[in-house]
Amino acid sequence: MSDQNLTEWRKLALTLEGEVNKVIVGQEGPIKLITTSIFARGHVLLEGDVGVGKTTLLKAFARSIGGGYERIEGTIDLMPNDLIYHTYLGEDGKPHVSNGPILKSGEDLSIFFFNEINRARPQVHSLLLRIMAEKTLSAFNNEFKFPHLIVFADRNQVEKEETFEIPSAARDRFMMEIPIAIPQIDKLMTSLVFDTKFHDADKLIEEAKEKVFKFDKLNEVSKNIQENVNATDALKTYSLNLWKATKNPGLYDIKISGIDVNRLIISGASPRGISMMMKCARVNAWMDNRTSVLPEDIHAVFHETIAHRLVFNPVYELRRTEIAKELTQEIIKKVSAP
Amino acid sequence: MHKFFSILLFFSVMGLNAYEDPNKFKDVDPKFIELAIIEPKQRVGYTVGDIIDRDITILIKKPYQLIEESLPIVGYEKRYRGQLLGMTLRDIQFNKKNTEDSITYKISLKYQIFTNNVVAKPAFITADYYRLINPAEPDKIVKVRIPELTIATSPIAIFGAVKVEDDMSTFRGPLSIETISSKMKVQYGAIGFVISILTLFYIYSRYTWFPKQSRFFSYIYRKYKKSNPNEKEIESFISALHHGFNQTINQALFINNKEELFKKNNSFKYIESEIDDFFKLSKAINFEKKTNFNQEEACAWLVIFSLHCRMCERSLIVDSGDIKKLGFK
Repeated sequence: MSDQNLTEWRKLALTLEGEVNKVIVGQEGPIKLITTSIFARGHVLLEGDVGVGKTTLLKAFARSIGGGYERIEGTIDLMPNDLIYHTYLGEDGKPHVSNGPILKSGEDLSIFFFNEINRARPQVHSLLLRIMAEKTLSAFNNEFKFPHLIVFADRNQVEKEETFEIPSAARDRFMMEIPIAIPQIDKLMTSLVFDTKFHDADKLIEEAKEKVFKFDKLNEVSKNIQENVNATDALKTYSLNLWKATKNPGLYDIKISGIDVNRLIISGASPRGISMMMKCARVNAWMDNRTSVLPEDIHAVFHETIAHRLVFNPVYELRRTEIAKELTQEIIKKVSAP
Repeated sequence: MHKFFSILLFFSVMGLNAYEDPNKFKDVDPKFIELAIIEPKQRVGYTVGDIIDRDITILIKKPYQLIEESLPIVGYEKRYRGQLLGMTLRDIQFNKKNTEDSITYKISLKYQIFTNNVVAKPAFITADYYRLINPAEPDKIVKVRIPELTIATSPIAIFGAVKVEDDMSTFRGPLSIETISSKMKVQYGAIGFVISILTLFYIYSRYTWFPKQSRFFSYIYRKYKKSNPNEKEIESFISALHHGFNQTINQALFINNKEELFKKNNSFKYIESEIDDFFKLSKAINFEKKTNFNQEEACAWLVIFSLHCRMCERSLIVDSGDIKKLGFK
């Protein structure tokens, strides 16, 4: 793919971002991050309260990207086969089997949204992990492939009743965990409450332009971005230091009030995690029309790509969200570049 | 009247007794004595209140030993031929060390001058005679002579200017042996006060700077001001400047958190545009590996920029005119 094509694709990426921003207000940050993850071809974990617009956001993306969009709700009695098929008695009185949400769109499946993933059992998580990692599924003596699939999952960090915490290995497969918060701007909040266009989400989504680009070209575009955006030795050293700081923050004089940082971390970011961080940083640089990654590109994605991978001491696990945020901020503050 | 003359006669006799006839006892054979005296270095210029130290070490071979009662008595005012000399023994320290065949006495004497001559006048500590006894022959007491010490007393005023006896103003304190007069103390105090006030004004002023107060950029400027304009040196220079900024705010400085720097030291706000240019240069060299710039100009620019940073660090006002003249972009 030529540089010219990459330039054109950049315009399309910005169009995609703009189209979703037209529909979803006050979420410019998360929308840019989701766009980044789409072009970095990584799965995304969304974190946020109910009713903040996560589903609408993903539907808008699915509409603009094209391809299949499927969704499933995580419940405590959900089993892996519920993702693959469901059985019913047909009009002819005979049992029938039809494809479940994973198989329904076939290879064209581009976005799969798993709502409240932490309500589902670990068996379901493990199936999803395979689909996320290998983008294949074995069922009915066949192997199904999902080359264009990106999984979006949502978990509610506040409620812990009847939930199954996603294991660190599963969390590590998500490229980003993006917090979705209600915009704290009075004008926007008033508009969300009183503007009638926000009352009908399905109609609202129709405002977003459909199929901005060919979704089946995304893998190739992503590969080209990674090959064409450079990282210098200084940046490699910087990212290496960031990685080390996630493993041993005490070495970098990182302090968090009320936390013993030397006991905080059980396991820092994984090699896969840092690799995903760099992939996202490259996409961020590309979206900002640069051919080299800057520290600011890493900063733009650092918290979202790293925080959910850190394994904390159980003493601090209940306060994960706030501690992880403070820790990633402190790491960026303390690790210098160059 | 008769009683008065009796008392006068008694004290006159006592005064005569205080002066001992040196011929009363025979001198000890010198072979029994080793005498060492440490005299004060100052021999002239003594005046009222001054102390004269005299250390005497005397080794007396056996069978003789010192009659300790013959040592001078504290408070005794020295006389010569019955006349007061104007000095008193103020203190005496005495110890002895006994060996098999001798006894060593160490005697420290402190004399204080009480004369206030109006003209410079020779004076002296008279010779003392310490008595020795041989316990085997207690009747044959001998003596050893401690030689006199000649000194000179000086007037405390030019002849006739002040007569202390007539100048007993209650506004004048007692004569003091302190070397710094009250007037000098007041002068020193006033100078100290003025310096303190000026220092405080300086500290709270806009141009606060003290030697060695500058911390990071001073060192960087000194180290790199004569650096060679090559790629490696420029990279090192930029890295050092980044380090200086990081040290200044105690965290990593990036272009998007430069407000932290201004919060820490508002002087850097005056060179904000230079800081932006520095980050552009740093990015170009470190992260974009751009090589299409004039290294000589870049180096010169960095030197002036580091100088400006040093001035900001010292809260001095920076004139950006010099860096603009370079025209480096």
